[in-house]
Amino acid sequence: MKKLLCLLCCITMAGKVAAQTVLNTDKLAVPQSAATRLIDASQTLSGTSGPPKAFALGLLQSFDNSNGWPQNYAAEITPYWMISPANRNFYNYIGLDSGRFKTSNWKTNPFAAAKFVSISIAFANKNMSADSANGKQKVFSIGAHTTLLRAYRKNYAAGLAANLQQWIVLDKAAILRQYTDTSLLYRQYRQARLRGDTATMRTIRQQLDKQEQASIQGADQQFQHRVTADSLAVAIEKQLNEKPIFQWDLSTAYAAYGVGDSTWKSGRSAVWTSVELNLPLNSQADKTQLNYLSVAAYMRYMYDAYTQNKKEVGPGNAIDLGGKIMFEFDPVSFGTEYVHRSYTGLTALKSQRFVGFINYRITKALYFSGTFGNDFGFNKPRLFSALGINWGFGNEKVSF
Amino acid sequence: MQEKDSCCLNPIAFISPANMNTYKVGASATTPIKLSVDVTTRGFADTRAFLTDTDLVAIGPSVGDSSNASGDIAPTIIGNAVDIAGRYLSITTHIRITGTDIVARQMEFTRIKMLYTLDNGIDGHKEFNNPDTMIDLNGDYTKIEITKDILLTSI
Repeated sequence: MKKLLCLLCCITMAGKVAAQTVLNTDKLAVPQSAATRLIDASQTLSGTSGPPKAFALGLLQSFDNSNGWPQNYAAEITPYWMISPANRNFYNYIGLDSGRFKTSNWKTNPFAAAKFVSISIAFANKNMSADSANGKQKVFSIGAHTTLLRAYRKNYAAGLAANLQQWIVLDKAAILRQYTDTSLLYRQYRQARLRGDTATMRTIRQQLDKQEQASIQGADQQFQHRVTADSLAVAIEKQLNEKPIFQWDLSTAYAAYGVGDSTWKSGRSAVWTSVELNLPLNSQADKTQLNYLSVAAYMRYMYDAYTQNKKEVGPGNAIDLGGKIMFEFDPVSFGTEYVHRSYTGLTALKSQRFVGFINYRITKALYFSGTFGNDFGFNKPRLFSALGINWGFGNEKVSF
Repeated sequence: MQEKDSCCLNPIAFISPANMNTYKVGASATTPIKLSVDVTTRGFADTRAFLTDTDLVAIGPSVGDSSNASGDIAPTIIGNAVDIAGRYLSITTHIRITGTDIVARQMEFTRIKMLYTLDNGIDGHKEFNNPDTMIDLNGDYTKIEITKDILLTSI
């Protein structure tokens, strides 16, 4: 109970800090990387994820820790954001293509997300042995993740291309005004541009944007509901955040365990895959907020150097099979996951992980998440319970 | 590119740009001058080019336009040398950088590349790869404005 109160205090404090923007919270995110999933430290093991952040940090608190401070830390980088191909443009970035003959038959490239390979590391204190012993090890894990394939709903590409074309038309009108409008602000803008005075240019552009926004929100019905370049940019951003109907992800990771104070030994290595179906629950895709029912299937092959073989600990191979079902009703997402782990050649060694999870977005940048249920364990399952304080930036949800 | 503190807006007064880039187009009545613009960014973009007077007021319709969200202007004739000498070639690009990760957007902002190419004038093939201004309008790397002004001279 003391730990729960401690955590709630942390959340309250973090919310205040985030509100004051003292802490650069946009660099913190959720530990749902390959490195944390290998060591079963993630809230769930199955499921896919969206394009990863350029750089992210995360922490996760387990209630069964003797120490009240979080024991699990993770970091993730995406090299794609660090490199700058000379031929990059918006179309090859999002995988939107009009085909060889540049017709208006727009399609999405199903392999376009493969370039978002992420590299992750994690440090944790966790009981990694397959038996029912309660000891914990220091664990270091490193992993990689990518999306092999994704497919969007019908007309997704056509709708996105249409909105882009409309944005171009409206933006061209906005640029034309910069060269032809004779009102004072525009004249001052041109004067500042000739001076190279970017601060004044920015100030005037912001004033012009406010004027346009005020005209849309004003009483004059002639301007209400008018589509602007800004409103279309928001619509395009929303389309880009839409989940694919189908997604296939691949991950691999390696973990080493700390033995004593200075010795590290190989613990686990694994490769696993997840496929996920995301079914929008809204009848129309252009609703303000899309809600989803997500169903995922998961399979993992794992080499585990510390498998319990009869009364001895030795190396073994494990196969995981499982799945997940999740509902997303922003700001809440919840669901359940079941994973069955069997060690090949050792029929006596089977265990399951069965958890429920919930995630709540407290503010735009602050998440609270909880996972409760049974973790893997030989003979008898272990209780798994964890609460997470997660920071992120933007409208993204925590992806399990 | 300059960054200055925001200050009061002065009354209109023409200020001659001291270090504006120039391109010698010549004085031929039959030499078409060509412009192309190459925008390198992951954002979606739009570019327009105008011939203007010294106050940056357009003297006619646009002379170059991007046709899709890449923001690129394919090689296009902006006029014969004799007709455009003495004018400013003024180019504006708007870019919207997408994504919920501000760190990734900031990285993309710093990696935007612009290449303006003029051809057929006395100066021949000339490339300009430094925009005059590059402004993060919203302060969150979502809405970017990039400008370039080039003085076209006869000699």
